[in-house]
Amino acid sequence: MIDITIAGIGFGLLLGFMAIGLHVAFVMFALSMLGAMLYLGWPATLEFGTQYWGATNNFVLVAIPLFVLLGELLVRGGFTDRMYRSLADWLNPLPGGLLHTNIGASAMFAAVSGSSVATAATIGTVAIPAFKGRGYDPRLVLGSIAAGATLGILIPPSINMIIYGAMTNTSVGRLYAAGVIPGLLLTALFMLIIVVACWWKPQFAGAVEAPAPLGIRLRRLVDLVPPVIIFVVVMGSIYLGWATPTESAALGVVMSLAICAAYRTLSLNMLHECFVTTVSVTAMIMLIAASAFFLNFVLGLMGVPQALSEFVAKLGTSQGQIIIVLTIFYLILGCFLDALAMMIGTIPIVVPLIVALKIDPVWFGIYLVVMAELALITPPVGMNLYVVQGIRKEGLITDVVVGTLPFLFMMLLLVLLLYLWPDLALWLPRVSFD
Amino acid sequence: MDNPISRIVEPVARWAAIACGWGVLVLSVAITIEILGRKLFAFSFHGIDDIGGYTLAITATIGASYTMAMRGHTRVDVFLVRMPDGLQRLLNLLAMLTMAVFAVFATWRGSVVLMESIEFQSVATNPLQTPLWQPQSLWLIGIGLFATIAVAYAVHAVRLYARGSSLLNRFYGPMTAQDELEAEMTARLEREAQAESHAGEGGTR
Repeated sequence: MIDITIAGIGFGLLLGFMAIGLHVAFVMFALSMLGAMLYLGWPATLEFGTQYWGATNNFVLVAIPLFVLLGELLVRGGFTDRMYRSLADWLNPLPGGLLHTNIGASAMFAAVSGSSVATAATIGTVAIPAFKGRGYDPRLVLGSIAAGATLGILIPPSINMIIYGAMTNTSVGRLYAAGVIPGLLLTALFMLIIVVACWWKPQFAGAVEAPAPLGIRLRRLVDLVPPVIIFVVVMGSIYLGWATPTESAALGVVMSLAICAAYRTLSLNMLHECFVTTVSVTAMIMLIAASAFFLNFVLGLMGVPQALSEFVAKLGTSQGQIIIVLTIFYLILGCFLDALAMMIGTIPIVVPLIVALKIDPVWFGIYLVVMAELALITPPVGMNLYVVQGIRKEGLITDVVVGTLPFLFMMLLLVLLLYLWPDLALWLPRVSFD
Repeated sequence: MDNPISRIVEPVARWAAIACGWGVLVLSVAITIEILGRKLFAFSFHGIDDIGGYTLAITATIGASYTMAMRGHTRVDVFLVRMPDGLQRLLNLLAMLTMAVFAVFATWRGSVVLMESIEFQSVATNPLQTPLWQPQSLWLIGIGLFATIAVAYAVHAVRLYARGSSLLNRFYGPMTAQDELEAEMTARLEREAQAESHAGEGGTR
């Protein structure tokens, strides 16, 4: 049995090597090799080839390139500006006006996209020009886009959930179902904080605008059809048992091709651009995932998961204490690490802990996704902040950071609510699949 | 000045990536047909799951070479960019060297996986009974390409380091979020210019 301090030292080395800028995939590989050589002997390191093949030849993970491709097609599909306009028709009367559309459009796009960064890029490109000359507080505008876009990975489909499912042998379908209510709740919380902010300081919101005539608004509802159809088909096919989560992603790709064709944005050039980004993003994720699978394998042979669970049992910590500690830990880690790398890198160590404490792995998956969402908007490394600032191309990124703060508190509130009522996440998978 | 090595390897890796992209697209169509066939006409391509797995395996390794060529593999840059220039040079060199070692080791172990499949004539346990050497060969080609690029970059980085050239940090520093965005934005602007010249009706702005 391995000593717990060794695991601690290993984890410290992992973070240290990452901090000096070595490639994340290499760092996890190197730590696995080190562990294998010191505790298992040289032959264990030779298993890397089989593990690499096993990690990449994995049908659950096939959903990753499919969902990235789906997202890329939709980003270029040319329907988001119309979707945005139609949502604005109905959300504008709320106090805070167009700000709500940022949240609503993000939530809607999140329901067809598995990535928060893609959501930020898409909604940001449409939304930022829409606010020109309307007198809204720029920080709140930027913050609502950057934070709203994090819904991309909480509202299914979600690339983060696919990886979590594959690494922990948790059903991706259940994780998807578990993400729905927390995703809608967070959408509502985001809108609530906009209402509160604009009620507190009315100058945050722009001038009240007369809504378009009802007939036009009704006619524009047709622009909401493409995302709704994709969501219904992707989620519906899983729910009805017609398709596995991976197969449903393929359905989504074919549907989004049809939508691009309908909007006349489909071309060979456009497809090739989608392909290059898709393959590059997939490869980046898969190299880290392959190293993480190897790390998982080596740690398992070393007996680290058992050592950790015994350690936690001996400490006698409660579920609540460990969640508080993990929340602080992930908040700090999320400031410096890429959100997905943070998730993949910590799963081999953290998940055995929570299993030992009898925390539901589906619930923990949702919790971890919310922590990854926070990592996307906490500086200095918060990808969504950079995406939004990059689209804006003026002023300081500090404006974006300050603007996300109210939303950040709502995300922490969601973590608290999830802890108090785990059924927020667990009820829907239970009624859908049991 | 552009990185001379990237100029050579990038187009090759890009075309390989596009080929993988077509693979992913064809896979989606095949899976869709399979679902419809299974539900509506009671027919099925057996083994599409395995083909999906192979597509991912090949895409992951060939893509790794493209991502390597573009310096896209994830690194934590917050601390690095705040370090003195000399230390940054050393750490960037170290990052390229370690990645090369990783990729070469992966090629070696990957080739053993392939050799064993050939020697034992392993076939997949699906109705297609795919001989495993077939997908594994393409998978290994991807790793090999990845290793070739990683080694070329590492050698170049060593030479730049030995010469004391300031280009090392520019060519082999982490792709910062800002760089990535600029690349993405340039691509986007080009696209828009193209779309405008076609004057299609869909793209409002």
